[in-house]
Amino acid sequence: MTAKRLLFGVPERNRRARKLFPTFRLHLYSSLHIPSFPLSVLLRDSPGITAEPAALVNSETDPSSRTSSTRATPLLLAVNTAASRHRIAPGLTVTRALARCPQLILLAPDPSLERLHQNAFREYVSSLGPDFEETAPGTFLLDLLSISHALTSPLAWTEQALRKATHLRLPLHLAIAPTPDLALLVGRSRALRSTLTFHPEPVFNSVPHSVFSIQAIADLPVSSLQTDHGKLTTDPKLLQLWGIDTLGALAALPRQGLAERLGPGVIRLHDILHGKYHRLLNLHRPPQQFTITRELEHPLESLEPLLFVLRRGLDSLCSRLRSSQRAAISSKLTLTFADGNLHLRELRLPEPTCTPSTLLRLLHTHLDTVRAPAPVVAWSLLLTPTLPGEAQHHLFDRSLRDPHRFADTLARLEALLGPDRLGTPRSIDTHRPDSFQMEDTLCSRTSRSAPPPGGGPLPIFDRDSIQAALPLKRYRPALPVHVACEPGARFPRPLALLTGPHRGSIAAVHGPFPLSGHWWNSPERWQRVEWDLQLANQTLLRLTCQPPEDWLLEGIYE
Amino acid sequence: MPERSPAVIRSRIVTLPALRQQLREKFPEAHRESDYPPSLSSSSSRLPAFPAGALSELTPVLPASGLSLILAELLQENHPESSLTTTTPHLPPAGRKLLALIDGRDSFDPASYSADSCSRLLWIRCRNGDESLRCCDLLLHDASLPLLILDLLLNPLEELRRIPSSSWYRLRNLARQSGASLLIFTPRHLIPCASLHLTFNSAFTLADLERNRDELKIVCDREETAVRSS
Repeated sequence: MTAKRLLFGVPERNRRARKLFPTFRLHLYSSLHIPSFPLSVLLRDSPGITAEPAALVNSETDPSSRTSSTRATPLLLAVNTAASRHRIAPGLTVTRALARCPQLILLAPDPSLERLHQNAFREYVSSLGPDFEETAPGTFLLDLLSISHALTSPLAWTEQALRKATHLRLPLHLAIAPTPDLALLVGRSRALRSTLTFHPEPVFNSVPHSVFSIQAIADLPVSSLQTDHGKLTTDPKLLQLWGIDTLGALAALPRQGLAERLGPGVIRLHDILHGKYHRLLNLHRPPQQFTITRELEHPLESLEPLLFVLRRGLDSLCSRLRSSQRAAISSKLTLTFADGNLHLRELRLPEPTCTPSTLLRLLHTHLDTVRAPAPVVAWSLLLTPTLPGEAQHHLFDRSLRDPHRFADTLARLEALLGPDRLGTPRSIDTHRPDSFQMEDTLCSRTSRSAPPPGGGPLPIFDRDSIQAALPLKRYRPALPVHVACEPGARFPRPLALLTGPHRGSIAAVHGPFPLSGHWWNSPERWQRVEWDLQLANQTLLRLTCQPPEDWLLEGIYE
Repeated sequence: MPERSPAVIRSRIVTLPALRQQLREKFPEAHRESDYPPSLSSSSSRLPAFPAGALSELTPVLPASGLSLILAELLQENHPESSLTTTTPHLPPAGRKLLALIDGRDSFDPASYSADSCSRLLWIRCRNGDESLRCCDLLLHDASLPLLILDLLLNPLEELRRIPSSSWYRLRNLARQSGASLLIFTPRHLIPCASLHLTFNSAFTLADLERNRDELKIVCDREETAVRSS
């Protein structure tokens, strides 16, 4: 089988396409690759060892002793040019590598440093063009369609792009090809890629990319060919059995009958090499912040102008949310007053929405309750985005008529009563009587279902087992009463209530029930004795005595 | 439009009632007469049927008459009418039962009820009768909840007598508009426009506190008033 020379003259091909289809637009992709990225970022900050043979190992190493630590067979992950001159290659064991080059410097990967340089690399690529894919650490694919001068004069653009990368101080390979996969392959060819190296001054080497020849990458192993998910669609061993080791051998095969002989995955590889497979880039999009901050030229002293500017801000944020197919689940308002004070408030929404009037109504209800110490000089709004609510109800389920209106009503009730006067009661993990916490009604089910940070069960104290048959109605605060009592062995025995709303002699008593808690913590220590008692007029009451002799009427059984 | 033969029309006339009958049997909830039922009938025999879109006044005759047991029963009941489902991502789609308790004197004791009962309660802790009526007004205006309980048992009688009758009529009109059922616990008969007056005659003793809650029997007299439009 003879390797056929395949030529892709990109400008020539595009010229022909333009002649046939006037609306045809040239597609070119650029691959930007930092060779041996984890090793390069380590060597970047150690200029002294750049010329020395160095290698990256897959275990913790002690650079001073130049020996690897605990792992039994640490392997080399990457080597620099100086090390490769000593016939040291990735995959070699450290023992063998040190036998070949005793001066070899062993380096351990530094994930935090890699992350730092990956972010810097991403910023650099985003400065070149808006549409790019983060293919792998140290590898990006850039769509040149939106960069007009890159299509008209690729060489000039390549030089310009390499010069802009000098601040990274990392070696860079840049290659241009008509498809994304070919751009990655071309980046591996010394003949077709432009490079930026540091010796230690930056050295540029730009090559014209006018003709892409499969011969330039013909010697590359088949394993260097990647598909969408970074893996080959065909087992390389199967290709080896057929004597296909290199890309040149694979490209030279006739397409007809290939799927029947080697499987359908090989067709994809064949098409990639011939530029017939054009995959879509997985475009990188930075996370959007739906926030707006404004400093006011004139301080605002009343609510109406503040609502007016907030409405304009909400209009802008909601249109941004809509364009991203998102809706707001909560809004965070920050007001800065002239005296330097801040007012922060997060308002949760019962359902995701991107309607400005709904969000403004919630803000209005809240702002009605705010007492401003000084005029407002700045404001900030942050909307938390989420996917718009999509739920399929049962056929005859009845839903809230207007969840936002209900949330607004709850906000009005809270404004009327004050904080902690509205919600769903939830008992807490203590035996102290009348201990509970109020939860937001619309979110209480969530907090109950969410696991605690520790991963253990929630500290819910269910008092089902100690409920009295009749529910108690509590006096809050408990009413102090005078009680006639006779001394007992440990606790006094109540005989009659002398003061309070329920006076009279006590007909029957259950108790005493001594209770105490937090005895190990003196500020929170509590102790009491309880009695359930029945007066002569059938009234059932709960009476407590707190030491030394504070009698309190806790509640009434209704 | 193609003409239909009389035989086809006749066969449809025959099959349509049968089809409606099948649908009525399969989906009874969908074939109620109105959006809100005429009364919140109870699955428990301990609870009377409370009229929807009207006020019901519940009054004890004796101390410890077991009026709080009504609240416990309502919290334990599985009212489909109060099942609220939203498309909120943080609410489960299974729906949740919500009941509003407007506590006129902040006297509700969560420890007397199970955690499950408390989880379906919207507890509004008021300080006096005036606050309670305002909260009731807001919730009836909202018309999201089909069942509200206004508990004024521990409010002083003098304070309750100062509430003008027009306030009760206003609440009744709001309840009628929203279709909600408003249960009002009062120490004496106070509400002139209540559609239902229930008087509780039970007299529980100290020994009853030791018994199981399900064993306690509530005795009440029912007096229904014809609803007149104002």
